[in-house]
Amino acid sequence: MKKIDNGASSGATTLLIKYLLMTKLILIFTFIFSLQSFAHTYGQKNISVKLQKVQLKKALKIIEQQGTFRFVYKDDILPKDKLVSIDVTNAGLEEVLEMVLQNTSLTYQKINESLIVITKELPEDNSAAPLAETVSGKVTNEKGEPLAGASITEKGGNNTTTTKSDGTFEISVANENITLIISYVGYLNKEVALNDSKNPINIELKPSLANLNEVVVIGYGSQKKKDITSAIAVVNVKDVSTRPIVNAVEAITGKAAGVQVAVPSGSPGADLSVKIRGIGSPNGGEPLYVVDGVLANDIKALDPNSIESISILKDASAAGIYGAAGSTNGVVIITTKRGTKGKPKTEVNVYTGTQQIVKKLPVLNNSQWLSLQKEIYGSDPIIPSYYDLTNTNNNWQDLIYQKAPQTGVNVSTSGGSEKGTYYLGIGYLNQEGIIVGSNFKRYSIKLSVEQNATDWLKLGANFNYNRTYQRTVTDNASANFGGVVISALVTPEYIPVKMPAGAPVPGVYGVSNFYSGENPLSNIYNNTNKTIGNNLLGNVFTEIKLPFAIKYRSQFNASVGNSKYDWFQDPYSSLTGISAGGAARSNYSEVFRWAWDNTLSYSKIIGLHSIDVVAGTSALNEKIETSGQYGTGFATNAVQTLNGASGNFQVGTARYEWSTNSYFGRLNYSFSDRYLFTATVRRDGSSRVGNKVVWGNFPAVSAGWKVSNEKFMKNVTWMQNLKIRAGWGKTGNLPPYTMLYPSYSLLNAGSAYAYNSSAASPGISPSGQFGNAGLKWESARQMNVGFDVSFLQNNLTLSVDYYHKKVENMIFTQQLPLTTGGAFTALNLPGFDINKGLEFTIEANVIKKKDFDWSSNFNMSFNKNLISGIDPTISFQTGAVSIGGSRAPIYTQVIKDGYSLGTFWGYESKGVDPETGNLVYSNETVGLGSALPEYTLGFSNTVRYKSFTLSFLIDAVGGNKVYNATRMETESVSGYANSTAAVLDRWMQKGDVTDIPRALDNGTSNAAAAALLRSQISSHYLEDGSFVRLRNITLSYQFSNDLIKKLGLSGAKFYLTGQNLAIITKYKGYYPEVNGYGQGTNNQATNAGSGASLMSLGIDRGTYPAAKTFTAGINIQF
Amino acid sequence: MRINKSHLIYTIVFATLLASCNKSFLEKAPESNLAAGTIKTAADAENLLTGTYNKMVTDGGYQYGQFFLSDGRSDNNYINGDNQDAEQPFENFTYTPSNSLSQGLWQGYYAHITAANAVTDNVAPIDDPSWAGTNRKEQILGEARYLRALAYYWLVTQWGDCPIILSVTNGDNFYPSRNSSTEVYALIIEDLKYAESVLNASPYKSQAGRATKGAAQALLAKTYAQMGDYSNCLDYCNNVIAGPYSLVPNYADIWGASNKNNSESIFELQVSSGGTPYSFWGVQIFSYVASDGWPKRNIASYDLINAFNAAGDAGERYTATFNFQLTSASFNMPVNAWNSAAPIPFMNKLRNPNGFASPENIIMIRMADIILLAAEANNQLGNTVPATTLLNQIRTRAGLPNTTATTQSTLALAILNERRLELVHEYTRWNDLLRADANGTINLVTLMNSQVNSNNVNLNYNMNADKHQFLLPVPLQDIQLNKNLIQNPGY
Repeated sequence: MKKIDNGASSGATTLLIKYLLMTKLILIFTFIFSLQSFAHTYGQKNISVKLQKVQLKKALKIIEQQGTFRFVYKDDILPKDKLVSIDVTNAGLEEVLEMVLQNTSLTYQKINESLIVITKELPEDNSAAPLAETVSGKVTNEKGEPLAGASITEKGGNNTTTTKSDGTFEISVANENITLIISYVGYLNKEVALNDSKNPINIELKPSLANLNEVVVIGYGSQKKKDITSAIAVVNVKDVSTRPIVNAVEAITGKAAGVQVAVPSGSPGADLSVKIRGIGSPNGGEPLYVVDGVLANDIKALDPNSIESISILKDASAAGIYGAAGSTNGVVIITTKRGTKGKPKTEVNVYTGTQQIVKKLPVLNNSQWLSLQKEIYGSDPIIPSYYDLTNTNNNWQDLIYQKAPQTGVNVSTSGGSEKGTYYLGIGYLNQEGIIVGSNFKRYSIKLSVEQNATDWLKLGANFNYNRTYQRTVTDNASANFGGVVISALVTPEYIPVKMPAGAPVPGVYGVSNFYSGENPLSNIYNNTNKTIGNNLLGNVFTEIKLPFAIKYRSQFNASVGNSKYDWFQDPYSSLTGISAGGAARSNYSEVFRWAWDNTLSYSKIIGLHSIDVVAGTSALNEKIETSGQYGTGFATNAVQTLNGASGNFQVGTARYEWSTNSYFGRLNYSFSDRYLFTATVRRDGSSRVGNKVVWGNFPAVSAGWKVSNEKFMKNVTWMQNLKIRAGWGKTGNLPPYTMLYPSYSLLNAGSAYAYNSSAASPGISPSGQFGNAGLKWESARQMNVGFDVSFLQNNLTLSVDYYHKKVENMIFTQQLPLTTGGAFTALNLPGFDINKGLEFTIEANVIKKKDFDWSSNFNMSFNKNLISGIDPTISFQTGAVSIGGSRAPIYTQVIKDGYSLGTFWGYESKGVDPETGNLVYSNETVGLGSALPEYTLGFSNTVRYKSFTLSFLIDAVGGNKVYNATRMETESVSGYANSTAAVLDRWMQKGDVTDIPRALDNGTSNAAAAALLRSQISSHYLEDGSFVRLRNITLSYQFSNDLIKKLGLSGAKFYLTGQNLAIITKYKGYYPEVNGYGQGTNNQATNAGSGASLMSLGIDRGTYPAAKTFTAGINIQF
Repeated sequence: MRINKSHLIYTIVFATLLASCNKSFLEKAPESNLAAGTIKTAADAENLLTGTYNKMVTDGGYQYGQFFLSDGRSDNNYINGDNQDAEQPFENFTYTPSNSLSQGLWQGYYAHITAANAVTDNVAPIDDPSWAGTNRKEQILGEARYLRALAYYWLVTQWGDCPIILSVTNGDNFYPSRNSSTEVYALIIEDLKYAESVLNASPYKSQAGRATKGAAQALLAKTYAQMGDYSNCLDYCNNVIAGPYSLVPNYADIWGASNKNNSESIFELQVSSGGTPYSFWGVQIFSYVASDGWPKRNIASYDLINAFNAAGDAGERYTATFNFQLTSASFNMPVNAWNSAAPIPFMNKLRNPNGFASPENIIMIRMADIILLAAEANNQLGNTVPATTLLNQIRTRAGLPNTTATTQSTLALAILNERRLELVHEYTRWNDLLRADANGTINLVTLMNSQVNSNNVNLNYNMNADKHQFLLPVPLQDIQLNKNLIQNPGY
């Protein structure tokens, strides 16, 4: 045996560590917290012991009892057959150990006066190592799954580390008396005293729904959840990797109170609509998105799999730091994944599945169609002989709706060291639409790097890029204008797919001489609509630690979205294609935005005072460029680009630009961890308000009181963490899609005239925009009061918020009377858009057992919207639909004093008169109800039994109306188009009691009633849009740790998911969560030059139905 | 930390200053539009005038809506379209204030007026040296005021009283009330007389399509006729007839690509053959196309074909007016109006639909219209002899014998009928019927309610005896936006 000097250079220890690492042992050091190894008596050189053939382990124990020192060793290194016999009096410790360990391969090291580590003897190594001890262990969750990235900190010290992908860690500590604090987002912190532990330390963390130390990303910084005084919802996005989520926004659905996410169209790649606390502006209610600090109008560039966390700022105090950038409608802050220190981690997620239509609507067959025609016209229609009513029975819904596959692959790899981290993710998505011919493909890349250049300088960058390919079919249109969904309902079954021999133009897609629309397959395959998009969202930043604990951060952001749209009409395959000679359109748009943010932040705790300050500036500029080309006369369908066109060339380009400049600051202050206070202020200037009033100031304050930290609450044990919050603030809003140069009256420079019927002379004419240099910021006064409380040792938490949001200076792109020629202007409408509501969130760990646990989140919100204080004699029409062959709008909704936004306005239908068969209407038009729900609800659950986890999400909305404009065409009981089977219940003779009026046509009956039925808005077509839906259900199986290890993995999961599997609704159309004119249609690039229209809500106009999907996937980590 | 503090602080201050950019960062002016107030030169003035002509293409309804307003509404045509909520009420006299077609026309005429007002607002203050020694500035104003008068002509004849707007912003009064039709007619006459006084007989720079002295006189004649002022009507008709216009020898040669801006044409909407800068899509939905699934509008009525047959008119005028085709085109035709298995009379004057990109010009006013109007005015004023001569001039070209009518009342009917046969699809029939009803030649309510289909079954047009359907309702949207507007009676 060889004694190791315990001086400053304890080379053997270092070498030991190296050796063990090299041999890939996870437990590094023989530093074992065996309960047996305790001793605390006696001084240094006074060991007196007499042993006769005692086992080594026992001998060590006896010696321990002689002094104040302790031996630390791993049991299995002590040779069991070694018997110790010594007899000493007042001997030194070293002397005794020399004797005891004689003839063994063991050696010892004196860490300090009271700790002696016994290890196997190793070759000598002279390299230096710090005098410290290394502790190792493993952190797992309650299921025994390793937690990667959990942080381990020495209590009261500076040492800190994080776990690797397999959950293991090692940390150097000063001595064995310290305590480690282990923390992980979403779990309760755990403290482990080293001298109280086994070796290795296996630490199991318990999940916490109310983890009050959880850090929440807020604007330009972060804050502990327990210190938040405003209304911020944190969304659990852990399920994203087990759901076939195409759009990142979908991850929020049903997860946060007061946040409504709707899928207004099932078209692959379509945008989703998000509303936070009602609608904060008649111009739209979509929130601001902030992705890694980048302000964005949409998050098309994001692959959902790259999302790390989402927090939603709902009230003025939370969102106010973003001032007028859109905070009236709330802010969705998304942080994307980045690498963590430790071993590289790679994750693969693959899924595939199938989507299908939720239901189909029964339509009339040929004989039912014929008898309806006879009833309408009094005689059989004369049908050309090339139609075969007996043998041609095309169910168009069966022909256009398909079971559509969907596949997604995501691969990510990440890692890092003390110096820096990286994350690289690539993604592929291929989604066929449930309507044939529609599809969406996305290739995405996400890259994140951070580097600590020095101890005071950090540099980093985040980039999200994707390229999308989309082929769409026309929806939200009548069959006459190519609307596929309506065409599939109104094209009679006898219409052939292709015109037969004997028809005027055989071989083209089938049409009816009676019914002017082409069959839906013609609309799908004769018209090719393709869009290629490139979306980039990224930033580069630097963080510099300045003197006096001030941190400076400068971040440059860029987002680029471009889209190229190509349309081609085949010159031969259909009648319309032939009559146009084929046509093509090619549109291009690019939106480039840069922003530069500079912030200084400062944190300090002085006694009981805790201060956190941030101040900064931001400049933002956006340029929008569009171009479009058109031509007709194609010789062949083999060349579909515009070089193949021969005439009617039309071109156009346009350019727009706007900018904002902002100053902002926030102070978070807390006293004694009981009284919390937050104040923010933002000053915004923009080119998009009137140039006489460029600047707006937006302050907000909030305060919180942690009641449970008060002394008088000390004895209250039945509840925990009671915090009362209240806030008030003023936020600004710049409606995203209104005019970009509101100060100017504009003229169009492209109004040419062809004098002499020849070449064009250039012309100028009024554009219709009247300027308003005094256009003020739209702004809101928002109030929020609420409280958070937990019960049952934080296993049940409740949050309640009441809010009142009053928007003033509403910016209206107001349609002026038509006597101006249809001009419009932007103005601040006197009056208010008021949203008030109540939100409840309950989170519970219902069951928490080793093999079985169940956690649950229930949220519900009530919102009431009201337009108040505008001139009661005027109303603004919105929600236009056009019916049949008409391009002219029929307005379904109004914005009117005393009514909610989204109010449908029209005649009240009082049912069918049994005497006449006509619908009876009210004399006056009235408000018929609103498309805004009175309440929304989300209920998500995760149930785990051993390795199986079942999670499901139920969401519901209630009290909202949907205008089913599709029925205006499928139930109008007139004309030659086909109808849905609903009209079989039509009135036919006196005394019939039914909801469906009589068959009508020109002159044969009450023409006025017919006109009203077909062309006016009435409650006849208004339906209850409430629903309860099983939005998602996922069953996953976590492979056992043994199996994973054998396969060399660190985690593997298999899952089955169903989306939209069940829905309870009275709605008669395909799907109640529909809005043919959703926010998604308000593409800023394409609408930049126009005075965009006011919002439209809850209108079904032959809208692409949402699908139900089944998916299976596997998630592997190594 | 070993940082050069001052260096860092300079960097940050610099960055912060950059980020809080200078004032011009927030001043953005439109790049793809002109800002108002930039019209300064003679060239600007010409361009603004050209833009006003352009509005006839984009907003005038001349390629679509006006066909329903005139022939579609009258006994000439069945509307037959698939836009049944908007169009069909013009067939059935069921139009309501929310009728979108009527609203579109009302808005279009006012858009045209606004464009013309942009000329009168902006050009009046310009003093460009290139105009020295000419009256071009006055001519620009005159052409603009002609176009304004044309829009008011349609407004006042179709809606009656209507707001008079004489500047783009109307003195920032966006909520005008209706002026009496007397005031509107007075404005039309004032504008047209100004145009007549400053414009030449031939168009500026020989650019066909511009308003001329003759165009102003012709529109004055038509306006006075509609007012019932046949004396002034006759004067202006005679001025036109004395002008540079002459009838085209062959009726069929009035239309078609090679006959644009012919000697008979007084005011003609210009469309180039190349599809730029615009083309006329409307022709596609009116004229027969063999391989087109569209239901064609404005199918000639049984009554109209009967009128041609009764007149013995089967020659060039008949064949140039109608294109009989076998198509089963029964879409939204009044019940059994035509046997859809037999050939159907489609519109034929505008022959080249070219797949929604028709190069056809649209003749707004032509010599034959004014000759027959002169005949009507003479007859109403008791001058039956010149009335007969003028009438026969048109009949002769059509290959018909001279009229047999001799009395003032039979001549009135003969002239009305001749106008009907001569001017099918030329926006005249409905106003002709309104005049004839006003001067007692016919009873329009009786005439429409007695229309029958090809099986002699009444078509049930149900025109009300209170004649309220003579005028269109003021569009609901404007009633809702502007509380100062009062609806026409009966709606």
